[in-house]
Amino acid sequence: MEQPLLSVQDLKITFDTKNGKVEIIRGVSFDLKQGETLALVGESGSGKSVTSKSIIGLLPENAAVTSGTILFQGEDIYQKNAKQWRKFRGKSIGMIFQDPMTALNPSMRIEAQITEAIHNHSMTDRESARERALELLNLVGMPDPETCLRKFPYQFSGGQRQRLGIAITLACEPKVLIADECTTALDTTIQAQILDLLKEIQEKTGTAILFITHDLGVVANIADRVAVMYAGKVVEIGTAEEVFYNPQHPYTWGLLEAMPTTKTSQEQLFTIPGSPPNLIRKIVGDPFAPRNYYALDRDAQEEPPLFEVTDTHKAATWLLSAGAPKVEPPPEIARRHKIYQNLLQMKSLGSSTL
Amino acid sequence: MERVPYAKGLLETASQTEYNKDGVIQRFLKNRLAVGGMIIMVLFAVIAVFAPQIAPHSFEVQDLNNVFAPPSSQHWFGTDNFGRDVFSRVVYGARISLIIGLISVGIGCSVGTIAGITAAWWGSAVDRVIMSIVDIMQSIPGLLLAVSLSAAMGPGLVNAMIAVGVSSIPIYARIVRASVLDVRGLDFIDAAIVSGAGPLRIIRRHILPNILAPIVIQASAGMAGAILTAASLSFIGLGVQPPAAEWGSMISAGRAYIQNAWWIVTFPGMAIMLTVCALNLLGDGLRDALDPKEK
Repeated sequence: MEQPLLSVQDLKITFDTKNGKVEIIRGVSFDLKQGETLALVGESGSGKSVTSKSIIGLLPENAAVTSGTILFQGEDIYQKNAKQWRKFRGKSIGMIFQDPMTALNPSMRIEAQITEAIHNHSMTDRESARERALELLNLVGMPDPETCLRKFPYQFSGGQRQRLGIAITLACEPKVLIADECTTALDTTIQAQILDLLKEIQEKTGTAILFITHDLGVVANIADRVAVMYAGKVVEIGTAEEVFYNPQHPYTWGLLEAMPTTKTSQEQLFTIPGSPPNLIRKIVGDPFAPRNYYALDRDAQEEPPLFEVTDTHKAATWLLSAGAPKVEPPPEIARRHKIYQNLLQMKSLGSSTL
Repeated sequence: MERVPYAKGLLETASQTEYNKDGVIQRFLKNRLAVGGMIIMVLFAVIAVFAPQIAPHSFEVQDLNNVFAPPSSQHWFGTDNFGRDVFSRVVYGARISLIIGLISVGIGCSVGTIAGITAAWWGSAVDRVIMSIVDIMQSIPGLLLAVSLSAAMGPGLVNAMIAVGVSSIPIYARIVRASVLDVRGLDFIDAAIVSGAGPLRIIRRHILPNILAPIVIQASAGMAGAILTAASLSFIGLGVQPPAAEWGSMISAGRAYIQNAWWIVTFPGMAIMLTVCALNLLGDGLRDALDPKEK
């Protein structure tokens, strides 16, 4: 098996708060291969953003990685000193931000912002940096790149700013792109355009994408693999097909059921009852158990490990253990297969008109 | 017909956008009071620069045969207790007041900005130490701090500027720190960190330009305060020393004669009032133009 580009192993992150230390990430592991898109999905507070920030070194001051490793091309990134870090970050990992309105410096022209990112990691003269900036603007599909360079961010719309943000990120030629809810602040048509753009960039540059979102519609559209997070752990991970067609964890069932479809207009939208656990209290057993229709007695006592379903598909639920009662996923999941089929098909066609 | 309210809504949105399109300069120019303040300040600046050409008499030559002369065509603002021309002294006083204002604001502004940025950017212990010092400084009233500094360093123009500048550091440090914390939370700072920019570069290129507005606003309003504080220092004899023409010390010297020769204190007093008023109007206008949200 080829070496993964990025490998997160048993990552644990603790926040020091007024109420004491809280473990927000409780052992997260996943791999990201070159040219692949992995989607991290989960509710707010499940730890998906913190995980991505730890990869890029943007954890807040009161957070600390207490155990685990993050390997980038086999190198442990937390073994680097500040200067190595800085060089490493720009060249290897880029981040696309959630809110395009604040992702650009309002007082700098676009040209300066793109060329600065280029200068940060390579010694190029002004002319070739400008050339490269024009190239990047073309790549992200900005009309009239020449005038673009002279403008300020306020002269662009939200979707255009997200494109500019992507251009700036790409200026460093990162091998891994972290997209943190980068379509959440955009309306649906622009969202689809940006997703298409990311796919196109991935095709052209072969970059790997770690896509963080809570929108399963978007996930089906872009992801090769999906990792579902709950309360600071990955509870189910597998290829998009596996997670959408053959989900094993009751939490994934809930998420899939809660996804609105065009047919849900008449019935009530499904919701998972309750809210994620407060991690300040010590968790006994499966943190999802109190919200789980299918919880077993064992869930209340012991936290389930990741059980292997196939080589690529794992889920952390006692339902998969030997001797567990056979539970069928809710019928709604099967009814939705058709919808996912369409979405996944569109992904392979490379178009994402939702 | 439901078109009418809809169209009206559209029109309103359109004019709203039109207004927002106005640049900072247009917004400033629409504010008449602010423009008035600016004109007065430009006038004072011209007077200060060309004081030797404008003043009809010397500001320090005494004419003891002509003391306490009321305003006349020869001495527009009259003469003082030594027979010096009050108008010429007010003109030269503009020079000193503006220099004091500019330099002390420069001191307060630069030291305060550096302190504020350092505190906000490096946070934790650095922040606590700097902000504690600022708190202590701010717990002493500005004028009192300036008085004690002048008293300690000895009276004089330079010491007065330093005293006034130092006493205004806390306010700049506070404003800058708050603005940096605001800007720091925005994604483009994270983006710059991720792309490999060092802290100094980020501060210079991404933070400073975006916190200039509050600094400029505070500086223009702060200059009024600085001029006033400097005049107060001179009034109590700790600032600029005679025979130099300074508005505060002119009032101080002339106050004994106010019942017989009102002009000696009135004209420098009016000059102070006019400058301070103009600077405050200018500051308000700048605030409205640079930061339309804060109206």
